[in-house]
Amino acid sequence: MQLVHPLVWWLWALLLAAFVIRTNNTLIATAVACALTLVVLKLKSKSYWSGAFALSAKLALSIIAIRIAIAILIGVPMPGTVLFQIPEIRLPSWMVGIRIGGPVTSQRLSTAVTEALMIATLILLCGAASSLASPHRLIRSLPKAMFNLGVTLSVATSVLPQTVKSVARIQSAKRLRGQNIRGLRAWRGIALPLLEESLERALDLATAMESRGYGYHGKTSKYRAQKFQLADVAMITSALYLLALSPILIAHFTFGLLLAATVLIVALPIVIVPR
Amino acid sequence: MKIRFPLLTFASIFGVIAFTWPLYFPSQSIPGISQSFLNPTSAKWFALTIAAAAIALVAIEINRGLLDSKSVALLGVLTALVAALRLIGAGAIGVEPIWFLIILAARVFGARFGFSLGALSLGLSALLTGGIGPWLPFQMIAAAWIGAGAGLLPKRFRGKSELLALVLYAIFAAAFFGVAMDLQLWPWIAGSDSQLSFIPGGEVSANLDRFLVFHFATAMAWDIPRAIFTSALILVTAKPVLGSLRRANLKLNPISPSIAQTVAS
Amino acid sequence: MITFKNVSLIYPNAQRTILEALNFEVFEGELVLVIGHTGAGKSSLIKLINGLVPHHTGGILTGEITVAGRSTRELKPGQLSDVIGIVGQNPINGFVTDIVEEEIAFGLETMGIAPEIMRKRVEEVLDLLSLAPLRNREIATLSGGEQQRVAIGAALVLNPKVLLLDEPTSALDPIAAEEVLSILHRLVHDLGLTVILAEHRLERVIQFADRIMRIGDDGEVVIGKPGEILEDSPIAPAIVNLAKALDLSDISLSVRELRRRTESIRELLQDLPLPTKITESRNEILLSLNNVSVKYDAKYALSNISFEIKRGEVVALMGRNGAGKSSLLRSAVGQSPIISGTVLINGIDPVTLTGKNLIRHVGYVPQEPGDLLYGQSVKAECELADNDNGVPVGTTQTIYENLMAIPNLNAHPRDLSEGQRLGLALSVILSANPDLIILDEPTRGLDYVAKNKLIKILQKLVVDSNQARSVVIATHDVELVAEVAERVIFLAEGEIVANGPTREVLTSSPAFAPQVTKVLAPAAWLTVSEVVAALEVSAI
Repeated sequence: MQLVHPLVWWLWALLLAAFVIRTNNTLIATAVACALTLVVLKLKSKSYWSGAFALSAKLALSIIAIRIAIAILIGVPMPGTVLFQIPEIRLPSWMVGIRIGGPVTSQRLSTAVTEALMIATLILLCGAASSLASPHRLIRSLPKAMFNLGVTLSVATSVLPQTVKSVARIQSAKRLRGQNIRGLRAWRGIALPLLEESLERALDLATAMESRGYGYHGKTSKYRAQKFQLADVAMITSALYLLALSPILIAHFTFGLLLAATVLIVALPIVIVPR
Repeated sequence: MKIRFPLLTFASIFGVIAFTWPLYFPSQSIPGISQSFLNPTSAKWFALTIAAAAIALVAIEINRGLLDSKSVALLGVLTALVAALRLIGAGAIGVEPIWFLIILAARVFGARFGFSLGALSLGLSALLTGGIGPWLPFQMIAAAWIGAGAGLLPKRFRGKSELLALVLYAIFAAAFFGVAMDLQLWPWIAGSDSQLSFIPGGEVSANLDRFLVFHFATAMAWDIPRAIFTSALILVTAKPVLGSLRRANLKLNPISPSIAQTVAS
Repeated sequence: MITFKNVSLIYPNAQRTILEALNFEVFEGELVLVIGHTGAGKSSLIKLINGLVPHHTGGILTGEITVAGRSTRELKPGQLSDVIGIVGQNPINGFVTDIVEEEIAFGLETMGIAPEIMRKRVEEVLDLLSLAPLRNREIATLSGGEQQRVAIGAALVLNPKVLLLDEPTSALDPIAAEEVLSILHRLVHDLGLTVILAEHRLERVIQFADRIMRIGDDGEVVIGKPGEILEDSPIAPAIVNLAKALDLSDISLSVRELRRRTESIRELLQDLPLPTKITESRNEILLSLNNVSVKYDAKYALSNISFEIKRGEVVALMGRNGAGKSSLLRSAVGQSPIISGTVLINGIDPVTLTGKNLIRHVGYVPQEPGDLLYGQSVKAECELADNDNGVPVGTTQTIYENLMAIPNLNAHPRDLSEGQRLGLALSVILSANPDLIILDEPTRGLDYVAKNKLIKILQKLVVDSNQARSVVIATHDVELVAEVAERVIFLAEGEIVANGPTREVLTSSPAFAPQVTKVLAPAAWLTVSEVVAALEVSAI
């Protein structure tokens, strides 16, 4: 049983992102975000790239917070029901004379929240794809025309986890040498041995690649590209349906149905993806 | 006039447009394109597409330059290193340990290398830190420019003058990155309906004023710490790091003649 | 298959020619072993064959080198990749991807070979090297021996006629080294592959070699049958030294051969008394572990370990990779996640020791001594160490100069040989004057000369100081243990399996016995020097 093709995860994420933007609705966006979290929690592995979703969630939350803060503090006045008032401070004219504070209307708040939520869901979708698709396998999907770049990135993704482990090793070696320096000197103490190690590795790698004939033969070929499976096709098709049929669903059926369909389709991978 | 790197030139032009469009976006509809398609709110999506196209061109160009094993090995390994540093430094605001290495590596290995390193390392590290979002192509372009710029510093600076040049460049690069990121972020986070949003059809100077106020706030939080941290790192590590990089450069590109003619035995 | 005609090699900025007027020929299907001291030019010789020297690494070459009819003068290494494959010391440094199957296929991808042919060849190589069950594994999770097999596979997939190996087993433990050597032996005999192998550790490999090439320190190269070359070679494994010490007419290359030749001598030795080490009785306990268990995630790395190390002892810690040696050593410096039990150094829990306090009690030289070094030159490193350790300036440098015969103070630490780097790391640790010194795999990558030097250093360490230091060495190197350690602790799966005097532990296990023991069994002799000393005494 093969893993899901990495491109499929990204395509799925992009289709869902397009869907969320098209429907432009807070409930839909929240539903997608929640279902997505479930999918990631269930399906992610314990690899060095799996932490991306959690980090992206933090980022998404801070963006929502900033967007709402901007809307509240320096929004352009919009007519509507006033929720609360913030004392006004008028900034000097060399700061463009903007006015901080003032009445905050529910319309202003809701538009800000909706927009923020759109962006946040987008980030979450990208974070989910990052967590679920192995970067190494993703790079293998690059077209043959980009072989050289593919090899470079392949080297980078292979070396990266080992470099991260080296940091821990070097840190413990520093401790063994009786150093507890914080701050800038600590960075120097870690960056230098790490750099030396990396450069030594680059040297060995160049020698090995040279000996294996890299760059000497004009054409290149691709070994066993990862094939698409039923699960992959199912995921893409369902996401496509969602994107294409959403206006029809809204027009002819209740909103609740669309919501349910969203949750089901986003959560589909939990059921069909081979572990 | 022959353009040496046509793909990169186009990519850079695209990049500049993608960054600066809010300053001069028109208010009247452009003839032929409906307002519902290209309006102030959807324009940011277009800018994103243009930036992505620029990245595609950059990728093709980078691929062209990676024909030998030494470049591939060096670029691959250093990209991993920069990405790893970003992973470690992730979290603390202003702590971005990637710039000092990109700048120093570009100084030793050249503008083209610095360009590639900037773009690839920011792309790869974004993948791992959940930092993929509408800003990513812009980050990659900006980092690539910073790398290229570092590689273009005059070679004749050595010793103290080199250190000074690098530190100054670091401060400039930190500020530049801040401005670039804010320019790009501006329409996304300030939207079109706040007092600090860009004015479609407004004068460039008016937009610039609004932008600078917007930028002022973020500069305090991010740019100044970034500038301080990066320049401090360079001050402290430049000598040994440059030394290591130069030694590696020599080993990778030995300057001895390779084979002498057979002497009659 | 390979011919060298009047080949000389010199590197710019070097004081001497590495090789001079070299002429030899290697025939198809031979396994040639290249030996020589560090820096003599083994690596250069190997790299000359596939053109890496001078095309890739620089150097000035005269003469003609041809491999399978192709000259390395005109062709670059990449153009010879279908004829010559090369495998280095650190296999993982040469890998481009992270998956076994993809890595093996990489060489074919760069040649643009059609996918069906690629598939077939990769399957063949996977079967040949028994890698099929590992095909989808991440390379970083494989053991050293498995990684080296993948490296060999990656080279073999291009169907070369010649395979070059530059110290392939130096980073491996003995079991992995066996694996690799037997694979090479099989490749030579079953596939007719020509193999040129540069090695330091000769114990297992001399019986496989068809011929040996020795590069002397002066650049002179001799090539001939193993028996001839090892007869006059200063570089030889214990088994050869033993034969020489016993004044045998011919040297033997394997334990079995030597046993057959020494039947009468063994009877004589049977009656001689074994040497006993006279040690002052020491009571002070330096390091004690009491029911210590260490757990990583869900697995127990150590279960209920208890032992003590007294002042002035030299103890060897042995066991397979993954048995728990590193966890045990790290718990002595307070860096292991201990979930139960106590560790005490001089009565203090090492977890509570930080900075300068820690290094006064225990000094740890890790597997990669380079991790400890961050100076720009040896001199600078010593000064940094003086500063870090809080000792007067010049202390570290003096220690280093005493340890090394030729201290090169201006070299960059990364450019030093393995032995010199180890010496530098050791000096850095020693200048803080710790009571307990821990060495993690110190002889990895060292040649016999450097190893002997290390043995002398270790012996002096314990004797010289007036405060009776103790040394703990984690190692696979049985010969080192036989020379230096008085006690051996054997770990398996996180538990202590044996803990006793070296002679008892090493001679009771056939697999982990030194060569001398294997030859002279059942008598419990450990080293050549012991045998020589006993013979001298009995002759008197």
